[in-house]
Amino acid sequence: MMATMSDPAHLRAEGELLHYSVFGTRIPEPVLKKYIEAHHYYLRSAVQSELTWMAKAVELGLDLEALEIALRYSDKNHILVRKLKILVHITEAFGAYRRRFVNEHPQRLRAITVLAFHGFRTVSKFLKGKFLLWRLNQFV
Amino acid sequence: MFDVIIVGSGAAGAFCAYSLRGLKTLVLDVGHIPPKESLAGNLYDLENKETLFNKIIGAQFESLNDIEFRKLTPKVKAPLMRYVIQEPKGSPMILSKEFSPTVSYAEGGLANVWGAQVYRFNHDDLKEYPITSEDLNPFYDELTKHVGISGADDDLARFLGDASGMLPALKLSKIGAEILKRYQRNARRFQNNGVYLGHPRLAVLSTDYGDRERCGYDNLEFLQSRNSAIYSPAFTLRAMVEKKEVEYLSGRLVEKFEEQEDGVTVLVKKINDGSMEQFRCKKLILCLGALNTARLVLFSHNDFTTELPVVENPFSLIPLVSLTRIGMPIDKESYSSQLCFVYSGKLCNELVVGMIYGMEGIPRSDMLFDFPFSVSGCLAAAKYILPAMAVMQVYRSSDPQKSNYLKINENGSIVIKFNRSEDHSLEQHLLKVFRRIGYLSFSSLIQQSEPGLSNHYAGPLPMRAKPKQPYETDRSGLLYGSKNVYIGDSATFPRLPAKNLTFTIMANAIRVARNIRSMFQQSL
Repeated sequence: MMATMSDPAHLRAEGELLHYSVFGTRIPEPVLKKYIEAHHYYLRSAVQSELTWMAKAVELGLDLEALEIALRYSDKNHILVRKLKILVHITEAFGAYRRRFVNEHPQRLRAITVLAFHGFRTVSKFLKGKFLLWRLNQFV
Repeated sequence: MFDVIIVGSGAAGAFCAYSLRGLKTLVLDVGHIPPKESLAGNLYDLENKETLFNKIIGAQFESLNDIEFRKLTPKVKAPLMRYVIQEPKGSPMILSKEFSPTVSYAEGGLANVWGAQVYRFNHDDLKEYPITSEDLNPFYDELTKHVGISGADDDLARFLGDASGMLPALKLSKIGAEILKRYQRNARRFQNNGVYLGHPRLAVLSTDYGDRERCGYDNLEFLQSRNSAIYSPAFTLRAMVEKKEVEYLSGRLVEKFEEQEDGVTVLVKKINDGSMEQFRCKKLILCLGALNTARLVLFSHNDFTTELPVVENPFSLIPLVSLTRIGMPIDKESYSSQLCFVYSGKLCNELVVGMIYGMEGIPRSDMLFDFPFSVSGCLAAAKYILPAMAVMQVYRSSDPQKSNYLKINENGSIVIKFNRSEDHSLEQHLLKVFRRIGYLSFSSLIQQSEPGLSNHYAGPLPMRAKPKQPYETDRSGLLYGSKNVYIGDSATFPRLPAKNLTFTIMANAIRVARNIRSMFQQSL
């Protein structure tokens, strides 16, 4: 069975959780509106099984960042990978996120520390993501 | 009856028209034009002042294209540039699983989104061509003056020719200047490995030129259409139309041509209402871009079986990270094209040409997910690593192969079959050379372009010294078996060297049109 798109209530919950997973903050309303609107143009041909998978992950409040890194290299077209790309692209166009994307001052020590931290964090997220995937696939 | 009708207004069409000013010349074109919205100022200042959502992402989320649909180059993807690839109603479809070309129906054609690299084809580049560099040099000289080209005499002069008549080279960004400095310190080591670096020759103004303003180093070249510093053939076309030197009819899709003894009839569909028009001319020059030109020729001959060769420059992308620049601030004043490089060594039979780009002007989200981190780590990498990063684009030459061809089906759609083998040995060699001077990269990060993505197409109607079969052209661009139909674009290029072809398309278009002009002058 084909679905044209998720319903706005699902997209709202999904956008909130995705944003929290990546940025650790609540999603601003204008960003959320754009995230929902983007689904008028993209992922319209997502199949029901993908939508069900996504809805279940959101319902269980899983760590979507961990799931994404576990999926990115094995299934780059997975619906979660694409949804996260949509969200990140949208946020880049909002001035409020500028400091997340752009470095305007020399800060080598901080950069190296942050990148090293994320190296370790990525490994742990990857392992967590693999575990969550295994669990989630038992539900859906 | 027109003296000459030119179909298309890209690099070829505009310069055919330019050479035929004064004759009764008509340019027929779909002619999509840029949106009225624009960006002015520096990208990084603008982001602070206003919401750029519609200009960066697009009202219809155009720049998210690659997330779901076929890959587009960053310039083409940008909302204010999408007019370049907008397809008019009734335009031919391209059916291919393995080749995704970009065709343009815009005023100025694909050169509205070109990298603006301008290189003269020399003797070696023109092997298999029935013309020589001496045939093209006067037109390259003329174009250098007309277009305004920046460049410098450096280690690349032996491959690209001297920089006489050029404007000073563009200012390098911090990463570009650092790479050049390290290269100069290690020039012998580089050259022993076949690698030469220098300033690119670009159709981008480093100083004000005529009524066009110099490059603003505003990081907007991937987002802003018709930046006056970056040459577009549309500038030349507009100027001619304003001076009434040529007649220009846009909103027209040429369906077919029919040749008679005394001229050519061109059948044209008006896009707005679908009505048909006919125009007559003594000489017809086709400049729709290699693929659409070949399609129009086949369709006009009702030929649905012949397979014509397709040639495309393959390219690869190699990211380079300067370890000493990690954590340094973004370079707010920069232009993307930094350094040109040439490889001339044992690994390839002929020259390989490429460009090193800075990353300041490209949306971070486009590259962010290529970092091997979880998403929040990718954000940190984009913030701290991208200012330390450059991307090397490596172009290779290409010859026709039996497996790579186009034909048309009975609906008039273009069908393309294409097969390409991959060899990364040169890229791995380049990685090693750059690693030795402090630029980190890994072979797993090398990205080979998908066939069709280079926008450099040629080959279907090759020019020959003595054409012997249908769909070949002679050195003047005249189609075999025809008296009045000429090909002005890269469809006649029998092969492609690694150098960007656009400058040669322009020079060759002038050559073809000057020959036609002299025929008219002789007949007077």
